[in-house]
Amino acid sequence: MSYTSLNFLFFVIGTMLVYFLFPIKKHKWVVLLIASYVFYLFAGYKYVAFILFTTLSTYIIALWIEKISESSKLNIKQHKDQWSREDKKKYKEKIKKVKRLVMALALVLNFGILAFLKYYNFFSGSLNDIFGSFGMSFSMPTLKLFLPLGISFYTFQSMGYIIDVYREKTPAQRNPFKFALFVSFFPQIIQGPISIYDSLAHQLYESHSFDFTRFKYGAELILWGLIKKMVIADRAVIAINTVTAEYNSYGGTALTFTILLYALQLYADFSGGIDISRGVAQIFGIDMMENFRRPYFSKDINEYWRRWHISLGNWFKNYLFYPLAMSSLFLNTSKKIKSTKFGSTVAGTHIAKVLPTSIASFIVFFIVGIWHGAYWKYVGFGIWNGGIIMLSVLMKPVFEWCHKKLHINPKTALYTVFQILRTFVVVLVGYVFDVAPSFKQAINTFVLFFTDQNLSVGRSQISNLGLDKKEYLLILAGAVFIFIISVIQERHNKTTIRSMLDQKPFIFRWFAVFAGIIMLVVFGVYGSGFNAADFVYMQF
Amino acid sequence: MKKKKYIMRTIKILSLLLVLVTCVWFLQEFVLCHADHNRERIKGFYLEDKDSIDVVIIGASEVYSAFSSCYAYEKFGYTSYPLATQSNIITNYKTQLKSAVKQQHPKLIIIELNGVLYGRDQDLEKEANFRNYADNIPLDGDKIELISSYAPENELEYYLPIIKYHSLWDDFPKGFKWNLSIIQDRLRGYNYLKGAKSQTKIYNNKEKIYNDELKNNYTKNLLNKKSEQEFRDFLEYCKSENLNNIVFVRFPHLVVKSTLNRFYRGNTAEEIINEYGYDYINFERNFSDTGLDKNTDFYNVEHLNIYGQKKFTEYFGKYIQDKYNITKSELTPSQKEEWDTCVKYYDAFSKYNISLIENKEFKEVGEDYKNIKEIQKFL
Repeated sequence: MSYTSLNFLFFVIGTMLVYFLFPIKKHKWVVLLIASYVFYLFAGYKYVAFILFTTLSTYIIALWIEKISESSKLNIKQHKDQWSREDKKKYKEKIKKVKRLVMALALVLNFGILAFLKYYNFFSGSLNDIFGSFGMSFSMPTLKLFLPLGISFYTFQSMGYIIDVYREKTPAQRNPFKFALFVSFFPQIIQGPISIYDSLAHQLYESHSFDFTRFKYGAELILWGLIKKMVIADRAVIAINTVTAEYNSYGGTALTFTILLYALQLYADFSGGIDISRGVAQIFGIDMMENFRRPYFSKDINEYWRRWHISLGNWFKNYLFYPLAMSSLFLNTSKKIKSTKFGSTVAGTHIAKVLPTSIASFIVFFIVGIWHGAYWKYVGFGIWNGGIIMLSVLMKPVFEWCHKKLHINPKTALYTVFQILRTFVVVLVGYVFDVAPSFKQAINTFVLFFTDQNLSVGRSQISNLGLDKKEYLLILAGAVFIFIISVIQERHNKTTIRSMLDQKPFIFRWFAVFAGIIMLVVFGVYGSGFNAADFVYMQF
Repeated sequence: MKKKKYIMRTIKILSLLLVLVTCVWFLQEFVLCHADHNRERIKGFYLEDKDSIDVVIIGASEVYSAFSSCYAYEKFGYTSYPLATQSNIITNYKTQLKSAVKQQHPKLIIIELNGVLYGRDQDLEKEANFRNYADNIPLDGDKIELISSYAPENELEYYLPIIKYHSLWDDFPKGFKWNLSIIQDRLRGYNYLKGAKSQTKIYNNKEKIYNDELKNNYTKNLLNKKSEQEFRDFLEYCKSENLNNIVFVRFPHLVVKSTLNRFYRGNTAEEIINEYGYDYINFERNFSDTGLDKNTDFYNVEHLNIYGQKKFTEYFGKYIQDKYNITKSELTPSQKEEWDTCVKYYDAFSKYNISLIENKEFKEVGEDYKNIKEIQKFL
């Protein structure tokens, strides 16, 4: 059941009616749990086993970890007088190891399933290639594997919860059904956002009454998401798919255009989907975290990743980047550099300071790349992003020196525009790995960017991508519209467009909603002549 | 106070929904729809006053290119209407028959056989052939039954055609000439030409014409299995409803090598019709009786041009008048005025067609806004 289908609309309306009319306030969350599993069953009954396994294993292991923590605390308390400080420290270390082992069990089990389903064929294929190149006849079989709906998202969310329980940041949930709701909440299952237990769970379990303002805001957000997805993204994807189907037959100009179009399509698709998710949740009284904050207005690539897919960025920051950067290995490396002769120079001091974080960033982005898919091109994507971030951190003093020498004031508006454009170009380069069918073709695309720019050939190729002039104009108008809305949002960071709209006279407000619906009905890409494009991030 | 707030809010929401539904309906009906001569003709049928049409002709494109209701009215005084669409299929016939009976209780119902004679499943299942009729009829029990009998995958799209056609904004103003004409018909209360249409061409291909050789040829080819089943169901329905005022007809075509098999399938259909005891007239076989000239009266092997249309209307109009005793229609003064206007428009339509043929200008002349403007110059 796609978020853009009429079935989903009826499903949400039905769930809403049952939820708000449910007589036992204390157990309203049960309606959401049932609805979430019904929604999940629509995707295919065979997927349910996987989400159930993650739910149960995480639920049990979290309780286990908590039990170890509690019993250890009790043990320490009971032996308060018998144990020396040293004994207590040793005991705590031992308990920490046991807890870590138990947590690792959950991580290995769940990430193991994800990795096996997602990467087995990639690794077996790569190994076979390597063996083949050495003339060895060994061959690993290729398996027919499928990816259950939203497996990445619910696995990351559940593992975040396990780590939080391990860190004693959050208590383990004792009710398995309540925990099942946290894992499976239907508005977020397809493509996130990846929520943190502490901020989402209590909202899910509280009883919410119907609130007209929430309903209105939620519905408006859904409408905005649908417009982005159905009017812009699903139209642009027609041209992009035409190019990717016969990638090698397009020249540099058409490919440049495709990458630009992809930047718009990906943003409209993903942020549109998240808007629909957040809008639906808002109607039920649940505020899900923001996943996008105008990422294309970022002034550097670091900022871009803080504005794009925020929940994924947060997850990696909290559960991978910090543990890596603060690990003894990294900290010791920093100390070692400092203790050398080079470490006493200006450059050495800087490198000793930032090297652990920049290497950690590189590793994180390498993994983010692979998370996108089991292909070498995504390895390229990860290395590009991680490499740029690493370089930007390491080279910061050099950039500052350049500014000084060239008398550039980084605070001027013009320089800000330059920074935004520069970041956008860096992001576009990353997108090449996404769009190109393979790593080799991505590299070839870069060559074509510089060697094969031909306007007349490009124009003729662009006009044959399955979209006519009027449709390109519509996409352009959509892009301009998103840009204007984004500028307004950027200027009024604390207020939403919806609350601003709410201040306007009744006629204006309703006209805006009305125009949005008509726009969707007329310009939306839907119906039998068209196969609804899945949300791009659904595949990850 | 709170109650008042809730009432006001409910009124506001309902008003928005009402405006929204009205707008979407308008878009679906007049802007984002597949507007062409089929829509104009079928919508026109439902504009006719109840029980004012004496002869209804069900069929496909040969019906409205071979027979003119306006010309028949001028010559014989009875009213008729072609309830026909391009490449119409047997699947639609039962609903068309029901509509004809329900709306008009006609004295005579003529069924042109083309929809039964398709050889391939894909012609029968072609969405456009179904939609030419189904999209343009009002929503009632018969339409629901028709759509479920066709069993489409995306059933909702047949009830809400805007889902299918909303992307036509891209084609605008291509269909606008038809939409404008349909709106005008609706405001006027009737259409000028009663669905007649023609092409300004004379068929002059040198391929062999078989009609004369087929006068006594009763070779039979099997009907398409699905067609035969649906045709028998249709005949069963006619019998069960005691509809005895039905006559089956094969309108004039030039039979050529590529359509010989279809002629033979027509012979099988004739046999089935006889089983059920209905009359059947085959103008492919009895071509010479009609006075049609294969060198001047067709614009292609399937369709008559304006010369043929007038000749065949005169011949066939007289034939049904005599054989089925179709007398002059009893009309109210306003209905009479309407039909008299239509006769004038048909006369102008005919002159316009002939002038184009004489000037060797090829054109499809129907009742769209642009053509009506041209036709009006000949009034």
